[in-house]
Parts: sequence; structure tokens; C-alpha cells
Amino acid sequence: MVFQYQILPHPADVKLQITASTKEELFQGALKGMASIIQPQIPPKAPLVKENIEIQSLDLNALLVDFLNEVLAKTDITQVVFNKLKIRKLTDNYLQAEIEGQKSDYFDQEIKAVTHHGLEIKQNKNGHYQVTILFDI
Amino acid sequence: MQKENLIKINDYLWEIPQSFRKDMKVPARIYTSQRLFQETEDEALIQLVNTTTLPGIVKYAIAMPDIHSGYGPPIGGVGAMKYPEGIISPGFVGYDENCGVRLLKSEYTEEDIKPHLEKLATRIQQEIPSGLGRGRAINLSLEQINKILEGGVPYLVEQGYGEKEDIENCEEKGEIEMADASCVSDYAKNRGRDQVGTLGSGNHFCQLDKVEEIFDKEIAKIFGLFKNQVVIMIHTGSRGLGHQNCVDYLKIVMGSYQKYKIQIPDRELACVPFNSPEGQKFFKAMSAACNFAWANRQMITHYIRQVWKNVLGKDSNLKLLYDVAHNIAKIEEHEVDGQKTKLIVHRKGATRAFPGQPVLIPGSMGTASYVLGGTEKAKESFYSVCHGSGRVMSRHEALRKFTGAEVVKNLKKKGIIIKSFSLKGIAEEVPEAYKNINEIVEVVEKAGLAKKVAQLRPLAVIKGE
Repeated sequence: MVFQYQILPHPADVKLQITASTKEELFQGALKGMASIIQPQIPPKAPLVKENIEIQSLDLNALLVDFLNEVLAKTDITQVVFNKLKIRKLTDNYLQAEIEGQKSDYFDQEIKAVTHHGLEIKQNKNGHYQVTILFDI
Repeated sequence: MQKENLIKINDYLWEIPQSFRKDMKVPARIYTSQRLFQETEDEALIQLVNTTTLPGIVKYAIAMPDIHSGYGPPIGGVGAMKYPEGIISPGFVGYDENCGVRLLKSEYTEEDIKPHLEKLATRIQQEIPSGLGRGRAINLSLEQINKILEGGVPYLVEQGYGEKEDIENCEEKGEIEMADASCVSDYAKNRGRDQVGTLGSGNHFCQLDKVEEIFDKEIAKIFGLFKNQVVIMIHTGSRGLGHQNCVDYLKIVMGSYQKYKIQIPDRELACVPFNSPEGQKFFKAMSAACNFAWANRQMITHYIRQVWKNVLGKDSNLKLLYDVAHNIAKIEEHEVDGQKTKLIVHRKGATRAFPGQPVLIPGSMGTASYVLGGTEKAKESFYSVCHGSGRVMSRHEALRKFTGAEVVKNLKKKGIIIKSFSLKGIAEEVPEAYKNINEIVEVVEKAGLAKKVAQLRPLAVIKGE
């Protein structure tokens, strides 16, 4: 397994659950899952856009939220929806990476923010990392 | 949570005593009815109890009848803190700072507008972008954004985008003076550059309503409302700028817990002392984002007035009844132990309702909305009432049960035009996904927090996608 994600029901917002073999894959899965919620309509020949990001946070849980919020802000400003992540360095409170995406003509879902609500990255009995993220939409 | 845990104060007010959980600093109170309480999720009640642990909270944490679970405090929550040593919380304002409602009054009746309704709705939809990555064609400069952040509605009126009365009829006169644009990040400002005059998505909307029923003739007359009158309701907030501002300050605040020895049961309750440097900076930044939201609703008003004059003639006009926030933290004076006391009042999904003030309660798409009048008795809720319906069905479930086309058809049967570029968005906002607004307003009135003045029924809905 690399990573898996699924959208869970919530009365007002969107919950995304990600399971991954490593922390790096968990971050990649979260990024891809968020893009799948936005459901962009990308024109066929849209060029690839790459950006560097560097984030310092309180701990791993906050790092995941801060990372996704950083990407979301970039998407809101540039309409580029990012779904690929190349991690250069990941610790429990620091991420340096390159994100890759394409400019979209239209989003199916606007996300206001990625919340910290009940978010806890855990390892299950198989050693896989798992997290559930609540998106305010 | 079982109802046995609650103490009945009266038929519409229940209390969760301080003894319910060790870390509670005050009791929690919920305005509700037997039936609405059954619909309330446990998580929302736990979130209400969590808010009673906030440092400096006064009297009780309050939930309105439209309570539902959010992040940190529940949606429909009110919490007042001691000034200036109590906390201020970005989490208790929420990601849509100064999400709110305004109501414009026309001099026309439903009969007068009927022949023009389709045209008005189409033109308004064309004039006001509704989110999903779509902003206005013009990007404002950062300098212009700064002026809006600090100047709010008065700045826009000065620039010719409104009338002097618009300022008078806005909560805080459309401008919190403490606002400081330098406390708002460039990221947030950049997110807002093409969003002044846009609706956004989700449950945000612009709606042409008719006054269906007048409950209180005297107050309706003072408010300038009459039966069958066409009015326009606008529901939106501070858009990406406000969302980013909240994200930015959650991060700052969460990094300060150790410094201020703050212990809270949920990260999203994020708070710092109001009189700390972080608290002051957040208050100034949030105030600026609130000014941005008022300016957003003012700019939408400007575009709607243009459409109105184009379609109905240049002598026709729309007057602002009132504009009120339902996600905000403010310094207000309230009575505590018989003394007038300054407090930091947080309203998250709750509307300020000062005595005599028009209180605007939007329904869900296709259902009634209400105009209420504030009462003196609302001092027990820090002059706050509900803010709307509150969801009871997930968007996913709504999509499973209803199609957009079906919803459009049903609304058409009721004589309601719906304008949205997204059929999916229409299905997600189906009226059945929300609590019954009539019951919620009933509780507010029976509890004495506000008086019903008028019920509005939608004629045309222009929806955020």
C-alpha cells in the first residue's frame, strides 16, 4: 500500500480519511484527497506549475493542517490545484517540499479551510499511518 | 448527552450544570424545544460544554436553537469573556469572519415585480460572481484592499458605492475602528483582491423575497416593511481573506498556549488573553476582516442597485434595512451582577439583537426567512439570537436523496426561481437538509429573545455554488 483516501459523511462539512504506509505518503495522500474534494476542471493542455513550500509547525498534526492550508491559499490566489508532492525534508514539525499542479477553469467545491478538529495522526496495528481531516466548506 | 443531564429553566431554556464536568468554569445554557433538542447532535453539546472551560468566560456559554457541531465551539454559540483579561478566540469567530446578512427594501409589491422577476434574477446572477475560484474580473491593488480593511462601508460610500444611510444601518456602522490592515497577512489580502462584491459558495446567497406575513404592524412600520413588499436578502462574509486571516491567527495562537498557561480540551478553541500582544493583533486583524465583509456586502448592494435601476428605471431604489454579522467577536457593554460591564462577546453562528434593532434570520434555500425585532429580555443571552436553520443532513446524503433538477422542479412548483451554475450545489442545499426555520424562530420568540416582525418568502434565489 502507498496511500488510500476516502470521504466520510458529515452533516455540514467534508471529512477525509487517509491511510498510508509512511508519513510522507500520508502527506501525499492528504494533498491528493484535498484535490479530489475540490474536483477541478483542468483544460487539456494546462501546463504544470511547480512551487516550493517550507513550513514550520507545532507538531506533526499541526504540520499536516498548516501544509494543506498553505496549498489551499495558493489555490485560491492562483486557481492552480496541486496534487503532487515531492518531499525534500519532513520532520515532526518541519516540511520542505515541492508541490505540482495545474491551473483549473472551475472548481466543483470551494474549501474555506482545513481544520484541526479532532485531528490526530495515529499508527494502526499494521503500522500504517491514519488520519481523518475535517474541511470547512 | 442525555436530557437527564440538563436542568429545565423554562420550556425553552435548559442548563447543563457546572457539575457536569470538572473543567467547566460556568454552566452551559441551550435555548431549544423538546423536538429540536432531539435533533441536536451529541458532539455539538460536548462542544458547548468545552466552551465553558475558556478562561474569563462570564455567566454561561450559550447555544441557540439552531446549534450544530462546528470546530471548537458549536455553530450557534455565544460566549462573553471578561474584559480585558479574558480570552479572545479565533476559533470562536470561525473561518468566515463576519459572515452576515443584509436586507434591502424596495417600494414595489410582488405584483409589480412579477413581470421583471426572471430578468432581475438573471442580471443579478451575471453581475455577482458566486465563488468556486471565480472572482471579479478586476483585481484590486493591495493599497485598495488596505483602505477597505480599515475603512469598511464608510470608505466605499465615500467612493460613490452607496448612500450615507447605508452606513447608519450597518452593525458597527460598517467599520470597526480598531481595525488595522497591517495585522492582516499579504496572503489573506491577496485572497481578497478579486473578491469584493462576490457571494462565495455553500449556503451563501442573494435572494429576492416578498413579505409574506406581518406579525407586528407597529415595528414593521418603523422598519418600513409592508405586506407583499419585495425585499432582497444578501448572505455572505469575508470570503478567502477572512478564511486566511483565521488560519493565520489559529497558528499564532496555538503557539502561545504555553506562554499563557492555557489548557483547553480542543485545539480549535484556540485562544489567547485579549490584552496579550497576540490577542490585540488578532482583534485588530479580525476587525479588519469584518470591515472587508461589510464592504463585500456593500459592493454586492451597489451592483444589485445598478441592475435594479437598469431593469425598473432610474428612479427606483433599494434602501438598506439593516446589515448584521453572525460570526464575530466584539467589545460590548452588558449587565453582569447588576453592573454595566465591558465584555468580549463572541458570536459564532449567532446574531446580535439589541432592543429595537432589526434582526435578520435567513432560512435555507427555498424556505422562509424572518425579520425579528430585538427585545430587552435578550440581555440574558448577551443580546444574541439564532442565525439560521442549521444543517441536519450531510451534503453527501442530500446528493444521494435528491437531484438538482428535482429540487429546481419542486421550487418552481412553489413559484421560486433558482439561479445557480451548479445543479450539484442546488441538491446539496435542498431545504430538507436543514432544521425547520419556523421552529427555531418560534423558540427564540417564546424565550422572549426577539419578536417576530415579518416572515419573508423567496421569489428568486441566486445561489453561491
